[in-house]
Amino acid sequence: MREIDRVVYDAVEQFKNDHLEYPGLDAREDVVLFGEGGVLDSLGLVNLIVAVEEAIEADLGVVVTIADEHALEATENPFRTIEALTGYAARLVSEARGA
Amino acid sequence: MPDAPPVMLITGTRRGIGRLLAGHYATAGYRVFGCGRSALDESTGPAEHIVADVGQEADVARMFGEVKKRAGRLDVLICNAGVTSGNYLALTPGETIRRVLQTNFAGTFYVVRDGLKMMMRHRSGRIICISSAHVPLATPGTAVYGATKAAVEQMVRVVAREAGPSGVSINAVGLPALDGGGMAEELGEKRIEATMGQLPSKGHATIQELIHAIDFIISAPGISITGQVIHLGGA
Repeated sequence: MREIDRVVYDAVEQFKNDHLEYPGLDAREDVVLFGEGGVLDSLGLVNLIVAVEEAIEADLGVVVTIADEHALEATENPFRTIEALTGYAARLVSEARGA
Repeated sequence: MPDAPPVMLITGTRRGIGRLLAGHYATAGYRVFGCGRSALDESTGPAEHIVADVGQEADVARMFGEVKKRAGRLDVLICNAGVTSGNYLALTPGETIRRVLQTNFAGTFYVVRDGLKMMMRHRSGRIICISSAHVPLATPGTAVYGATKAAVEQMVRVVAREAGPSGVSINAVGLPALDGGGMAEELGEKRIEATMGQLPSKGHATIQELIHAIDFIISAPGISITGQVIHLGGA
């Protein structure tokens, strides 16, 4: 498992423990986060994104903004599944480290 | 509130209202962070001062990074930083609109957004935005300034709905001319006097009255006090 995968999955687990209103949120790559069949509402998604950003900064020492215009313009929704979110976060971390 | 002193960030603390608030809340037991576009004039100030221009998104991100690094959390955020503009619309250059919007609305937006994200992590927090009596009074000569404050008030009402589920409240306090606030000097004494004459209080508010309103918001046990605008002076 990549470093970023561990960070995101741990953040999802912690988020689920803190937000019992989202019982369907399991830390599995195929879990649909948002949209049709998603386990989160819009506010839940915002909170999860903030939690993941915080975890990335705390664990990897990299400051990233996951929910910016680039994410919204992306061809494939980076918030659709945990796999998509992890992949998008990995790209942002890579870009930030390379900057 | 946590065992450690509660953490407060006040924007615009180099002078005026911000500086008065920073002094009060530091004395009251808060760990107070402040910011301004330049360093403090004196070597010591009431707050842990961070040089940052709220109208610059990168500055705001760096400021919250500093607060996070030093204190690890944020309990109260007071968005006070702002610039004034007093001129009739027909005489107002476009550059004034951009400058005042950038600080008063965009700056407040950046600060609220990044502060809210810090508070969401702990599922609690209080955000207070400073507005102005010029919004309800529609004082001639404040089309730009008043519009930016009206925008802040609308943002407060919207964000209250978005932040509530995370245990964060957001409110605004609208000020008439505040003693020691500096607004009278910048907008012109005559215009301020005309404004005051329309208010039930007929006079300037005091810093103690502002602190009373802020304490009322901060001390609320829950978030039922949210999305509100409290206008001092009866505006």
